[in-house]
Amino acid sequence: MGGTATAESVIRTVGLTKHFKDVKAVESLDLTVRRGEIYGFLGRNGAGKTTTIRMMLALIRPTDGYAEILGQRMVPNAVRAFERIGSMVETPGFYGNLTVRENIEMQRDLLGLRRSGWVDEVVEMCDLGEYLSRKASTLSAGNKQRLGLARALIHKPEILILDEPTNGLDPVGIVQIRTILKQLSTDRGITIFLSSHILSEVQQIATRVGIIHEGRLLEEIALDDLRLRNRTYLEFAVSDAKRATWVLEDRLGISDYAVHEEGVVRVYSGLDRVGELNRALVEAGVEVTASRVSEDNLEDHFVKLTGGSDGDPAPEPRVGRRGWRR
Amino acid sequence: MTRALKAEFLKLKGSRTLLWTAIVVVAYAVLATVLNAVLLKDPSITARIASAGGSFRQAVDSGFYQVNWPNQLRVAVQGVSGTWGILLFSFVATYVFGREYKDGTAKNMLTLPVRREYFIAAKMVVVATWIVCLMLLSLGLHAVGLVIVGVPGFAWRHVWAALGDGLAVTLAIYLTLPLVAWITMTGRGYLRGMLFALAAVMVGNGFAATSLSRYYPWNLPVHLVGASWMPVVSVHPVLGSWVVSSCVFLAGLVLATRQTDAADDVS
Repeated sequence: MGGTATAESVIRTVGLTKHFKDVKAVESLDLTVRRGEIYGFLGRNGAGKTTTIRMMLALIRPTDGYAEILGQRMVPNAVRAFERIGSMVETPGFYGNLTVRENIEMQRDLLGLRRSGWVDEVVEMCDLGEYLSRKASTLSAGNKQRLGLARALIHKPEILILDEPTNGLDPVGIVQIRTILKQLSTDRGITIFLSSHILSEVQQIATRVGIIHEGRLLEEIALDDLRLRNRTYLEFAVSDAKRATWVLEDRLGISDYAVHEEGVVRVYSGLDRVGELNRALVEAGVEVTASRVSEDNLEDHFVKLTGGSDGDPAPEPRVGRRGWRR
Repeated sequence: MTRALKAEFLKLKGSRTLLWTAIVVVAYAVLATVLNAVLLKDPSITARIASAGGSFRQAVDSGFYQVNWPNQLRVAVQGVSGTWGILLFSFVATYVFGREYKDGTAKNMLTLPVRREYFIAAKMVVVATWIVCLMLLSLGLHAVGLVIVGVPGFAWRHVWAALGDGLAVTLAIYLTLPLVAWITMTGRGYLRGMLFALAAVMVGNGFAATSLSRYYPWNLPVHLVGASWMPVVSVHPVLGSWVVSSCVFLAGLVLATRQTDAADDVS
């Protein structure tokens, strides 16, 4: 059973597969999460994120393959593993007839914990102090999410598995959760596995990401590697992209560029010639409505990998020499 | 196991469902008390009921409508053994098991470091406690009603006999509940479990007067004490009746426990 995960990897799935009749929800998923990481599990709605998490937590049986956490195969009654895991799957559920305090205390009892300062700390950390006497059914979606997180943290887990933890939260709540997670990772060394489809969120918090699309893991990459890999570019929004490319190539001799949707041109070389570029475009009668120096972010990377927002493959940008960018 | 048990009882704190099930029992007791008062005031009603013939005459002849302690305590127990009693107790089981899905708490419950079968066992203990309390409440309220109406002939032996019958009937129904719980879990809510219980009772009603009926777990309560719609017990349970019901109980427990292995499976 256990013992196959290396000392470094704390979560591992091997050929993890789930089919719901004809629907292949997850297909041969092999992912690894190392101790101390904040791992962002990215995918669109329906990509297979929640199904993967449910299999990892032994809530559903895999059609094939398996998941291991802390060296233990995740099967029903993996009691030893669950002692070290905190989790929140989708919208957390509570006993609405009980107060927030009673819900937390029930969790504490079930975990076999005595009352400790940590419980109070968790309540404070999740900003639940003023709601302790309120029935759980009366909480807002955001506060329910906070209560779910508090419940997941109450036994000081080594691993936190969160499915869309910022769902239903207002912007302030999102920042709060992000801060808490960063704090847990930094101060307590908790390994965090979180799924999300909000890429900007993940970019701000994760150290490594796995991108799942149509049930398949397309890539696992450290965000630092992603930053190194992605190039800085100068982006222009122009009135006439065709004429702009003529200016770039014939007037300025720049061939390392790409034309994106809606008259957006990205220039990858000559970044120290911003003024000259601007002037040349304007002189050629190309109106420049915006320009900025930028780099490919996680969102760009995600779209490149998974295709456009409508589910079709992302359109390839036209590239230098008035052809297609590699 | 103790932790699971404590949690399961705590989950009922402040639950309106507890109150609603008690209200059903109170309503039945009040109805019976009013009926007793009317029958005591005008004994000719009994004769008029008998004139309807068929099972009504049979009921009157058997003394079913005589207002006395043994008869009326038996009516209290028959309230439990009949359709509404079985459905009420089945509802308790569907609530205890189904709410985890309806409230979305199953996924938390099943990712705790507590063996899943402990939750099943703890829930069955809660169900047992709840339905025994309902049966005792029914019996107690009927007794209070008889005192209020002034029914003569009280003796403790009648109370003990009714209590024994009540516990036997409650046990007979309880043996069917793990299966109801399992069906509830497969339906991830209350409806499927209740429909199953209703169908099981209806099927049983269809052949309640046959000798085969004694082996049908949902008819066993009726054959122990009769029901308000069938006051005369004509088919008596045998050891095999309890054996079959016990097998249904064990099968239900096994299936419910196995169901937790695929607790979140929507396939």
